[in-house]
Amino acid sequence: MDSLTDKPILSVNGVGKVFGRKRWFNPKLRTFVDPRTEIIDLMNLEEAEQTLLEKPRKVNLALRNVSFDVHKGEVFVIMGLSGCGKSTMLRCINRLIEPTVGSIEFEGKETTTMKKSALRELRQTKISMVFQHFALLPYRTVLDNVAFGLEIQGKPREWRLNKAQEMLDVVGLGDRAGAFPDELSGGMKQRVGLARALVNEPDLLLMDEPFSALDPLIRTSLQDEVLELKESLGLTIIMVTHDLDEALTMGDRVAILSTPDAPGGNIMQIGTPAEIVLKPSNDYVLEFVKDVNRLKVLRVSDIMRSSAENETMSSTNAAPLKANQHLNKILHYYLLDGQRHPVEDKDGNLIGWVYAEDLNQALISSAEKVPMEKKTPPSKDLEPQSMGGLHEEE
Amino acid sequence: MKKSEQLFTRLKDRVSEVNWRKRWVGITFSAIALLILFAPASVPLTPFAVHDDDDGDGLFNEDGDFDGRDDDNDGAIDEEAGPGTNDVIHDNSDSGIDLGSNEYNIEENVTTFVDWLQENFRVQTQSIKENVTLLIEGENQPRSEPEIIDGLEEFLLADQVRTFFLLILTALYAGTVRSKKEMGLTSTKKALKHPKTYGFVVFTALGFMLIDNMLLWEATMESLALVIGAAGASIIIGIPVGIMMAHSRAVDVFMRPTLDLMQTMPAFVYLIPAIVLFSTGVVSAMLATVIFAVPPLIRLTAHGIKGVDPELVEAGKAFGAGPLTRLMKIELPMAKPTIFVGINQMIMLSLSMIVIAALIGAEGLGNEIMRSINRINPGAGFEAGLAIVIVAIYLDRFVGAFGAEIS
Repeated sequence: MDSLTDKPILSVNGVGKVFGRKRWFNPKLRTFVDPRTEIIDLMNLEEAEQTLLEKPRKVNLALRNVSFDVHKGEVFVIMGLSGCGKSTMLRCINRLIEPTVGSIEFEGKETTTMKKSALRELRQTKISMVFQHFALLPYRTVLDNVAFGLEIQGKPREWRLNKAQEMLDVVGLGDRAGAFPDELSGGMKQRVGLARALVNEPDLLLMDEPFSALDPLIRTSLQDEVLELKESLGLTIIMVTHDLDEALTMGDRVAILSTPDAPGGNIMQIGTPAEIVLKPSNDYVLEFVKDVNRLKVLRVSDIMRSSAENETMSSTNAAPLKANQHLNKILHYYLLDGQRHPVEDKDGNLIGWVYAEDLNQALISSAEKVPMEKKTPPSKDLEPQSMGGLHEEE
Repeated sequence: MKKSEQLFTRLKDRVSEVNWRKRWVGITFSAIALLILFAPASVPLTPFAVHDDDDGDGLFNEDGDFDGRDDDNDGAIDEEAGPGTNDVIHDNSDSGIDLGSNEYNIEENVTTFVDWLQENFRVQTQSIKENVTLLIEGENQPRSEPEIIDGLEEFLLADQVRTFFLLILTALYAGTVRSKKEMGLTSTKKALKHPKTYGFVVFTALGFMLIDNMLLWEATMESLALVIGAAGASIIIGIPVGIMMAHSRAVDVFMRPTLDLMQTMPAFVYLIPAIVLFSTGVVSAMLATVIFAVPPLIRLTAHGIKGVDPELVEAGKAFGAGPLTRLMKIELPMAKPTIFVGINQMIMLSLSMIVIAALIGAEGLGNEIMRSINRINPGAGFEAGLAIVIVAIYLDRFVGAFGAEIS
């Protein structure tokens, strides 16, 4: 990805969070210690199990050693089961929850040491948030809800209502401005939540399981809409979800989180959806991705072979493909003719080829489900490059 | 490790667990309360007795009191405290700590405390009394005069027709507000056309006509003035305290037993110090009414604010709202229905205090009831009771209209 070379907009370094008291008398050391940092240090030394450390200290370890970078214009998805600290991590970014240790740098500024006023300004203008259950104020109209953030910034009423109306038009609810949140459906409410977050013109949008309270049809359409909005507004999005399909379809990069007692901290793997699916770094991730429909996750660019320099689009009659298309959208070409198809970029130039056997590979590894089990691969030659890592581990 | 050592460590652990900084308010108040209640009266350690030597004979009286009264009822004091005795004399058998007798004497301590309050804060209580009396009775009204007419009363009683129409108008306004909310009407004009608006107006008109017909107009207005005054004071005290209780654990810990005490302690008990401090009259009646009526308002305010969806509060924070903005724009509006239930309860309770208030010289319907008790006249008592009910329903519907939820 090109954006990976840029300086990250947000960089999270070794963040840990322990809920609980600040002072505890350690009987071994015979002094008072901060049990929260102590437990993180001990866990890093792998001295004891999490529960054994937590119980006498009466604290609760939620996050340990979480580090990742988010680049501008990226959709970064934090994915994990409930209780793995993904929402906690999201709230550490705008400090709705104070991280116990570690540093979080946003646009080059350390947020963990920010003063209250600076933090408030950061939340008002730079980082917005969308909530799982929408968090709309029921006594306000939709328009007033959207203008809420601007109201807190102390903008004049006329101006902020105009701005809110514009944003409502963008999310397609311009005609429901006078309605109350209770009169709207779930999908509409989340659109209002989205408009409220976007009207502040943030650089970074935090989304806490934004689609999990919606029914499936609305969910997909809203996902697409969010991605379109992201493109048109140049947003950076950090999204939390427990739905792997959602994570893999929406995310440019995905971080899979586990419980903090895992060796090395919560983060199991960070990578693009294709990396996650094709090269799961351990059993935990593998367990997650084994049932994933790869055709929906993998894109043309993931199986594309680059073209020779002298080839052009005119050298073939086959239908051209786009690099960011999912494999399930191109499958029918190969079922019909089985020949190679060219991949074109935005301007219609040839950038590569997709061969039927590459597509086959994707299908085969998908049908296999659990490559870790000792099965002979169909053909040693056809063994895809990407699976090599796994078999080495075995 | 030895068992004693283990115990010691555990104790240390327990002590370290307590967040003392968060609890100091509760601890201080509990300490003071314990001191007042349980400090032995005959040991002049009670802070309230130490400086009291008001009778000028240069000595402490042995019961820790200053007035030379024989509070112990043991007949031992007055002889010892005579003039010419220059030092504290300890030869009496009940001086010092003697667990055998009534040393831990709550009665005496409370009396001492109230006396101390009266003695040391005479100027303050006097000025409170005067200011409050001034506030509600207007100037140049000698307090001792039997017909106490406070400002509001005066206003309500001055012109019966005006007051009647004012009541009707407020009822109409409340009715409009309610029907707007309940019917989902947007304009006042539509609400005025809706028949549901007028139910409350008709009730108010008929109810107050009935009161006038029962010749209770004057008494009702006096009671109404007292209740409105008490309700105003209760709102001014109750809502901020409720907010603090919701936000601070220390205040919550301190207020909870205090509210229990205020609600369950029979009203007559705190009427006694009220009379000592403020003598009989409207001020004492209002004080007693507020003490009795404010707890549900405090409790329900705290409950309402604690019950606000945490995601909403979080949303406020996430958009950069400070604590005050969050309170005004999220917590209070969200807790509004609950707070209005509290206001409603508070008004009902202050109405029920009218009879007790009559005992200490507040005029009004309570007085009518007292009179009919004295004369054993059930009819007159019922009439006055009915008037209270009408006023209660009027106030309830009026307040309820503003707390009604939009449907």
